[in-house]
Amino acid sequence: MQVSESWLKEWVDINIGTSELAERLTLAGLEVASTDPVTELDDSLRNREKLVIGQITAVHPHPAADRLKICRVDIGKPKSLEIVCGAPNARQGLIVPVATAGAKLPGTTIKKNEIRGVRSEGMLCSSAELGLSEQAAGLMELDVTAIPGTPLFEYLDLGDSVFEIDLTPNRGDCLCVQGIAREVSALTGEKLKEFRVEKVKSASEQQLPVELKAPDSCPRFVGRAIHGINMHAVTPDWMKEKLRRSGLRSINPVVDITNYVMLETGQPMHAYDFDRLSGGIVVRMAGNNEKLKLLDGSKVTLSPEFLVIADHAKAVGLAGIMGGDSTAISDQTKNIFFEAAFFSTSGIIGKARQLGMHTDASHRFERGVNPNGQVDAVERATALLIEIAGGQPGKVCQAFDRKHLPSRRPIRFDKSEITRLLGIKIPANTVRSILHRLGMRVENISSGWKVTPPAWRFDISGQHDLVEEVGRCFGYEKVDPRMPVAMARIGGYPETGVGLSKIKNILTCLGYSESINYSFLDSDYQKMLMECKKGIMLANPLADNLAEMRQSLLPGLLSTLMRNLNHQHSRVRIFEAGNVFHRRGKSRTETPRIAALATGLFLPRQWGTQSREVDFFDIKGDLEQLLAVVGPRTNRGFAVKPGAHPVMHPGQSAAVYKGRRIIGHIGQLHPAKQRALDIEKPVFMFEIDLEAVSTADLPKYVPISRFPPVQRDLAVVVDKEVPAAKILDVVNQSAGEQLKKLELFDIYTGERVENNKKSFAFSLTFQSESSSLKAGEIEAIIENIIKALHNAAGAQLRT
Amino acid sequence: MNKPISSLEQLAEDAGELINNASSVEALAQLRVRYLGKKGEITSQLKQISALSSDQKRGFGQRVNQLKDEIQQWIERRHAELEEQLIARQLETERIDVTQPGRSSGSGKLHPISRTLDKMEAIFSRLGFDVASGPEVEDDYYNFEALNIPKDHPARAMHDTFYVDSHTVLRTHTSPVQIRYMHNSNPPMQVIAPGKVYRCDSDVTHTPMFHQLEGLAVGEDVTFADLKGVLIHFVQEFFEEDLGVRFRPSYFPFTEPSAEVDIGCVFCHGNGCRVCSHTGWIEVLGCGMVHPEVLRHGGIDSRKYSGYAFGLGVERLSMLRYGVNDLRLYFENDLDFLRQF
Repeated sequence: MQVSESWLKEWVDINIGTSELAERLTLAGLEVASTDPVTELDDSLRNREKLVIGQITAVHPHPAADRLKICRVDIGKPKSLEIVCGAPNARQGLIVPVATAGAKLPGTTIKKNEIRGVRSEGMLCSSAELGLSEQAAGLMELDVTAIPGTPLFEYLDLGDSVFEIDLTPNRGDCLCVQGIAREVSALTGEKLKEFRVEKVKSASEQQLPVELKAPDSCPRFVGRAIHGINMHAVTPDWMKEKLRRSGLRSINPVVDITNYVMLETGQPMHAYDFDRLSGGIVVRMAGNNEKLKLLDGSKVTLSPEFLVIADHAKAVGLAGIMGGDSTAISDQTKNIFFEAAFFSTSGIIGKARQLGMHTDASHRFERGVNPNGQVDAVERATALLIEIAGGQPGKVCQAFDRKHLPSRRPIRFDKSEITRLLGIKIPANTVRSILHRLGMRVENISSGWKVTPPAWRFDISGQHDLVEEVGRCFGYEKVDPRMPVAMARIGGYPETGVGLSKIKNILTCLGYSESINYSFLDSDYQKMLMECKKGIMLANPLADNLAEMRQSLLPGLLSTLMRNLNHQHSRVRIFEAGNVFHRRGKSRTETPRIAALATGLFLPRQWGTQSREVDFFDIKGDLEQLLAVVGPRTNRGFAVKPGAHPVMHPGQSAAVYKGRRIIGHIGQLHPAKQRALDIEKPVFMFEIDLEAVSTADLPKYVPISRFPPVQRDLAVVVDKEVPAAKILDVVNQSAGEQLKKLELFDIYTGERVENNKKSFAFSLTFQSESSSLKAGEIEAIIENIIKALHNAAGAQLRT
Repeated sequence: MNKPISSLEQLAEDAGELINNASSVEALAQLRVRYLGKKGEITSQLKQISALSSDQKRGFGQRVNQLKDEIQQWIERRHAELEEQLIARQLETERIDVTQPGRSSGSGKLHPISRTLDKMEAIFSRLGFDVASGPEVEDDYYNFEALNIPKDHPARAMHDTFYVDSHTVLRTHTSPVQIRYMHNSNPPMQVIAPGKVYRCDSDVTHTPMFHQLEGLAVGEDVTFADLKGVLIHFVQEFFEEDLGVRFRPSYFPFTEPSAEVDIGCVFCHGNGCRVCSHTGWIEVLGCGMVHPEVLRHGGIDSRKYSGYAFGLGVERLSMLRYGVNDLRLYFENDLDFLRQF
């Protein structure tokens, strides 16, 4: 809502400065987003006669230029001025702003000079030249009643300021000058001026029958016919300027008046061409597929959830949103019919948006207008219209349904409630005075007050609402902050809980940087990578490539990878923690996961290290370090076994198990997909359920042996197909409890073993809790291991 | 001078020279064996004592023993010298260029959002707040209805909601966690809920996904004064600065009274700059006393208990803290950006 200070002053005295007023409004919840002077004109023009009203008394052609005219201009002084002007609308009798020599206008200073050989003593101005509009087609045409010689600053009140107020949606009552003036009154204590509307006597019996067929959506409709108006009348300067300062353009007197009344009182109005209405007014729900062409030329197809204003033949307006085209006023209009209706918020809300529309009227009706303001609005509009464009007013026609008009019930407001919610005490007479100035009826009762909110406040239904009204007007800054005593809690943070921060820190230490990708992505892209069924789709995505919820973190990480590869990062290690979303039949699941990806060199390029590309086992090692966070006992439950994943290389991918449950996958990006994504080098990645690493062992002390450990190395040759895990399992199972550590330190294929064989070399560390192990004991264990390896995997001792 | 003694002196002279000229620890070890070993020259001298006359015995014996000690000392001294030379040589050959860069496997960085959230959570944890979470694909009921935003409420228009179907949305704020938490615990309660939220909006200052941190406290004597206390404390802890904080009345359907909180501009400290639109204030969060209707939906008696709630924009705080001037950078995940945090 944009409102000028001087318009507000018509409704309430203001005895504080402009910026202080803005600050007070802001701190009372009417956020003043900006305060701007209505003109950028130089202050030197304010009280001097440099910028005055003038009247063109004669126009002569310029002897040397076809497009220029020589104007004689009366500026209220004995001596008139001669001014050369090129504006097409410069004509005799016109009243215009005149800048005289010495006037500083935006970008120029007016001087007496000669234009093509003719003396010019000033400049006739357009509104654009005065900074009052963006552009102008010609000279600014002022009212014929304006008196030459009057300083323009005074005439147009150019010292005024405009407040741009960001209103919250509960304050529909402040979408008008009167509403904001009421707030000012509540904040400053100045009295609000009464809105007294002169009833305009009807000059004819002209009336239209009005029928309310949907009284719950439209419980009141007020109309009035006015005959014989002059459509060529001009909107007076004062009204044009007020409209402009509230952000509205002047169109014609009838439209301007409806807008003016809306800005002043908050009541949206409409004017129909009376002669195009047939029979009478019916306010009803639209029919199925009922079509309506609107004022702005758009055509809408309606359904019975939309409320329309109709005559006896057709719909003539979309109630509370916009009038219809067929009954719109035009230059030829002679007779008009004003509408001021009360539409309930529930009848209007959401409707404009359904049609992709938003109008000043719908904005107000959705938030609630004063249910009792319609007759006053029509009277006000009638008086203004007759003053400006003449005409014969008919009778005010009104239809209403009291049952459906909102009523305000009194609220019992306990004094103690203020302290209970705000933590402060506010003097009783301050409370009363604030509520009173906000238009509430206040009665004292023993526990506090009985408060009846005014009809225009749709946002006050209980004590908490009154606490807010009192609190915001009293000032939140007067509430002393209190530091609460921290509540002691037991439980909630078990030592065995693994926080996400810890997991993230492990990955950052391993060289991975965290990324955060959108939870929605391109459905086709996800399908291409994951070969998945359609998951959770958004009904109204922002764009096609943000339409489906991610089913894995990997597609997002791959997008991030590609972006960074394009930015010349060739070694990329990134991870992400976040939820993935699946559809399971009719239900949906949301699972927190963590995923990481690496490509490029194993180590950053540097001196003195052998440079090589990252491979499966590097990232597997990283995964193992991550899984180790759960502690050794739980960690033993994890296993990485061959297992396919659609986005991964079938020969270089594995499933990660916790017990018998698959908790994730690890592998190389499938070469076909790598090619499809146009990525040059292999990419390795893993993704696991976060839940699998969310709980860790509580450490349990095991006594440290006092006896020396004994270490032996062992190398065996097996068929190439035998997996390492099998060999390690057999060793672990056959070695007995004295085996403390088993490390696979070499895997060899090549010349020194047979073609289809490979060799595993591992180091075994034995230690007993109760004695020093003797050579013979160890030999026996080794024998046992070799035998078991032979039986289980055909392993031969390597010699 | 009798003969045995004079040959002894010769031996001493030879030994002294050899020991002093020993060029390595190994050579010195050989000399030790040669003179002091079981079959060494000193030992063999001692063996000769028995063949001497009794008056010769005494002088000779004393001298041999004395010589033994001397040789011992010479060897030790020489040994120390050689060790010293050895170390000196080692030090010389092992000299490196310490200005060569260190080798590293490189480390990664936390996303600035995580870093910001960690800091925020730490502040509230110290104040005794529990941490909760909730689903991102959320029922309309929790996201709107239970928060006193019925269907077609104008506030819904402010939310630009992503819909999955007619009764399922991507949560537009972290506030639904308030309701879920109230359902699962009893007052007094203090909880924060950080997480992702979604709005159907994308331009220079909006991304369709962003992060919020919700706060809720409910108890028998919880007032607006507590809300002010906690949030002023938070702002000053977060920015580690004594910033001005003002509570400006506002409107949210789920709080009454409601306020927006402005902090003194961290860039110009009130002098006016582009970041604060020359107002000296920057809006950082919305808050208020929990609406009785919301408490009711949470199963809490609003006559007995009161509460406050707040919602902090994580990106906003992060941008202010680290001077990031473009919100979109947070979701582009450019390593050049990520590595700065």
